[in-house]
Amino acid sequence: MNKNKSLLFSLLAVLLIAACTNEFDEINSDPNRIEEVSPATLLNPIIYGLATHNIGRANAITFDLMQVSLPFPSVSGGLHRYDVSMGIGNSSWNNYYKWLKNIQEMKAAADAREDENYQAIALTLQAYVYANLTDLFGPVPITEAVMAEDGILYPDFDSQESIYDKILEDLETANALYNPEESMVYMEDILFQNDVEKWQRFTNSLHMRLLLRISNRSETNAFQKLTEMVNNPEIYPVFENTEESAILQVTGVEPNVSPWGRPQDFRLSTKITSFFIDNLNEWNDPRRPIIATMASETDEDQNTINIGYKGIPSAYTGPESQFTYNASTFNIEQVTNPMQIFLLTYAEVEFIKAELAQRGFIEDAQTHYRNGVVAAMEQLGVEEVPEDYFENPAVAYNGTLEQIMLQKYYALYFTDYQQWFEYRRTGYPELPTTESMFNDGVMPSRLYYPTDLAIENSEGYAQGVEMLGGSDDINTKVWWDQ
Amino acid sequence: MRASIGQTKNEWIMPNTGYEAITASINSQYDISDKISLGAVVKYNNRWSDNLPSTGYNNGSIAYFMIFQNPNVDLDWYRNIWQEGQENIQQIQPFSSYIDNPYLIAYESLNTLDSHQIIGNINANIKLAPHFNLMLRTAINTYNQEREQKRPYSINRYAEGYYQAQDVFKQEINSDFLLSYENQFNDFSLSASVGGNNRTEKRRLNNASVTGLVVPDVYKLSNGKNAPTLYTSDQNKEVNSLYGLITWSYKDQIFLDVTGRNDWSSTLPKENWSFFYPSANTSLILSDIFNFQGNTVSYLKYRFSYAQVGNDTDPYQTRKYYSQNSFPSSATVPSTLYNRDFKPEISTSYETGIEARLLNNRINLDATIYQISTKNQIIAVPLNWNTGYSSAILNAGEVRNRGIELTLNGNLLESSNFSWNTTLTWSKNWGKVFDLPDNIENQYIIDQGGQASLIAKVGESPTAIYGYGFVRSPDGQIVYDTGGLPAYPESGDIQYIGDALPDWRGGLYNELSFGNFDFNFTIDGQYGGIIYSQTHHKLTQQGKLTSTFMGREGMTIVGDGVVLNEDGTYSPNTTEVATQEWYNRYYRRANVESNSFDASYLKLREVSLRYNFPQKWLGNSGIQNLQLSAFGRNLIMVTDFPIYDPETAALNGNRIMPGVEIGQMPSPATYGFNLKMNL
Repeated sequence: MNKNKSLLFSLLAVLLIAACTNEFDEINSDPNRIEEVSPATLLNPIIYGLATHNIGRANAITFDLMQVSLPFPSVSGGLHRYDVSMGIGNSSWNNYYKWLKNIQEMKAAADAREDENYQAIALTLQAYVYANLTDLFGPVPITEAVMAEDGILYPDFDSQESIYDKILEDLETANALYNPEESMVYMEDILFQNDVEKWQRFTNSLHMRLLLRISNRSETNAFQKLTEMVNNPEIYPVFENTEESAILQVTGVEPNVSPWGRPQDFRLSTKITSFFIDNLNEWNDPRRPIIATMASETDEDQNTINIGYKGIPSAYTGPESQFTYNASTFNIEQVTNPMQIFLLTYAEVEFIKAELAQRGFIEDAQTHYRNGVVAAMEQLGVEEVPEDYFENPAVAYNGTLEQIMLQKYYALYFTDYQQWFEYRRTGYPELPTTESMFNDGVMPSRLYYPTDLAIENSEGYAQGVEMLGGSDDINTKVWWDQ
Repeated sequence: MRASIGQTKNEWIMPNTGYEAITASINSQYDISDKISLGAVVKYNNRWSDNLPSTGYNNGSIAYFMIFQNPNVDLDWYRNIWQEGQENIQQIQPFSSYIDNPYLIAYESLNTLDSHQIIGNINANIKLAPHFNLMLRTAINTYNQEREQKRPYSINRYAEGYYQAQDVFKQEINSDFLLSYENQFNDFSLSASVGGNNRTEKRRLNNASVTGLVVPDVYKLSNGKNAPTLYTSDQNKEVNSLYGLITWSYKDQIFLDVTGRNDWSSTLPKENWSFFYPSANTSLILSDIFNFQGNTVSYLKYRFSYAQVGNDTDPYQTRKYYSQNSFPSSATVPSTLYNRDFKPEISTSYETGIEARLLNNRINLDATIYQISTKNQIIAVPLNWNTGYSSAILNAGEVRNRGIELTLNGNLLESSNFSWNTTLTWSKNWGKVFDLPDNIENQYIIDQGGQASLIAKVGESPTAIYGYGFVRSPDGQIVYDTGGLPAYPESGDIQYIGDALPDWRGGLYNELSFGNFDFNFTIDGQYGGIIYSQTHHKLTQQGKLTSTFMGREGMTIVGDGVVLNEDGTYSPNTTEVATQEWYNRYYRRANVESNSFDASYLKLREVSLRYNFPQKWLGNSGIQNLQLSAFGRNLIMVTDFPIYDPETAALNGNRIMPGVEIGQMPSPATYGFNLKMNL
């Protein structure tokens, strides 16, 4: 009797449990998060994520390397003195690959729905990110990258040449894919508000940027391809005004808000450099009040006197007490809601054309140069270009690449790493050097690979280092820079 | 039936922090018949706080403030919190807006809590038959917590304030039965039981927040500058178990316990959601079996055990879910890669030891050796982002720990009015990584803090700390660059810095009594182990430590080391650099070597003196005994470790990473009195 009873209970219990595992699948399903995405589900986070990362890097890295601004006081060291820390590339590496993964899934969703416009957008964004990645580091994984789900935890590295081959081809493909007849039916995107035509212009403008980037490698025939694009605007439509440029309008409505939670940090212990502001002074440039604050001095009676726009020399030697004035810093309006983030603007496109013309591939360098200068002002909100602006001998087109690149430098202000990439390509604008600079006063040519890469992907790291010629060095020139 | 009610109030060393709680419970037992009894327990717990402290290395913690404050600022300058005419809008931050006003942190930046918890069960005990018992029980543990985060205007992270309201609902229901049998056969006694358990867990979190407040100091979601950002998360799981236990004993001299348990967990992939783990445990009273109790050896016991313990994990890791995003109709790819076929975690331990009482119980010895192998621990292994993910849910291979634990106790002196009892403990552990997760080659990063990494490599310790160090010449000198600063190592040249785990730990406990006084003290410590100190780096950089006196007079330093000549030889460094530059480079954050220190310590952990009032004084007062004691804890620390107590240095908020200190609150010494009365 007792034995029977206990047996019965055990049996009952076993049955109970066997029955219960039936619901395990349901219990282990998250009731909140989604498992499927449409092509647009990931798009706005991608655009916002990339744009805010890029503007942050412009501020943290490009401004220092390219003598836009400098931390002040800064008696020694610092990126503006080419004192490059090992972890400097971590943030871009991590962010770029994170968003590349999102772009990959966006592409997959577009492929599944055979939605050509979203396919083209995904290819464009992918090229946009890979170009920056390889321009920062040189060889990086692309063929096997972001494929952990396929079991690839240690992706091989690809040479920069093959990366450019791939992304330029993708941009060609993307341009052909766009179908203006078919509208973008999902959630409106925050960059172009589902305007297919503008997306296509972005694709081709980016295509031009990247062709120019590799144009020192004559075997790529980049200039010829660029000429072909410029001469066939109906096949390769590009940005033709600032309004259609790839500029993210940060509205200030959550979550599309300024990445500066505290806008005052933008200028905390920061001054504009003499190099940056002196050129604008020489040109009597209307961009000054938008970008910078006025410098001031205290006179004998302790009155504060306005002394116009005045910066601090980058990589200055000696104590900060040598600067008896309160130098110009940034105007924080640039990072308070609402604000803009530049991805690729019409001004850049005009400067690309100006360079092509200056090199003799197309006509009318001066017009393109002027258009570029005016557009660069326009994108910052200059309402009227002074009539005599181009009469200034320093601004009037003089036929040199140096002049084009100097103005382009201002057009690329606050555009991720572009000023630096273009400097590495052309050596312009010529930046002053000082005694207190590290690295023998030589501008770094790339960033170190991320700190943990040697541990997290040691084989890939070794491949990358080998392709660089044996060491993970900031002075190694990347393929297009050789 | 029993009922109780209690109230506690807790205040922490930080001003305006702490919590209050009320606990009420009722426990009743009712015998329906001589065979069936029913019981019920209900406990209600209400805990609330106006402000729970923020900890860790961030702007909201006082520890962070202490690291960055200007030492020549009088703290009273902060005291008014708000600038005149800018009340609730702009805090007072003398000289540096980098750190927040500590009074603002303590009195305006609040974390509130209101928690209601009910724990209860109903149970039945049924005597089915002689020797057979059945227990049935259902227990519930549920709580509802309301939490708020209030952040005032001008605080570092939120220029225009922030408000977050969070509701957490958690419920755990356990239903179980246990059928047991117990009997005695001559010298044998036997008990056996089988049982089962069903556990369901539900957790729901609703979170609403607004960044930017329209009216300062008004903490309501409707006062947000934008519509609130909402976030909802659930964590549900179910675990079923069946288990059995058999205990034999012979003459109370030989004991053997055997258990077996099978769990089914909803959190695991289908093929692996059922897992079994047994244990066996035996002890032999050798002194009884072989009958050699005497004055020399009065008691000798040998024990051996083998046990496996299985473990599941958190829900929703077997499928891919996109992360919520605050853009409408949007999501992002998760950063952790799901795993369709991970296995449950199993740890297997062997333990054996003896317990002996010698010389008429004057000396007691307890010695244990153990081995614990943890296999398939379910962890998020960090991946490089070039895989598309920052981590993957994987079974973490195998880690083995072996160790020794010794306790020696002696009644050194014992007389009618004086006695001295002392206990010495000593322990040592060896850890070793045996196997890495499948698909992981060579090594992986277990955890990172500051710039230090715990890296797992096969054959090495699981608590090994790695990071950048100095570049050294073949004879071990620090290599300087041409600028006169310690040279940067090559990118990727990560070195082994040391092991976070100490070589051994030991303690000495003493109880002395003389007359009516009892005096106790405890000294303990550890030998070996290193800790990387981020606070040391920060304070050195700011010149706030006495160890940075070197080089202050001339404000230059010629660093002690060598430079690499072009011909490959080394010569002494002769380049003079500014003092600040030298400290900046020598103790830079990424230099794990210069910022890591021996964590050996010796600590006077506790001292207490107690006076027992003599009986004759108490007389007929009705008081049976009365004791007054004074105690102090954490009193003296002998260590080379800088700034912090190395024992608690590696606690970072609620996360513990061995071997890494990142701005912790100093551990306080406590003193107190205690009056105890028995009626």
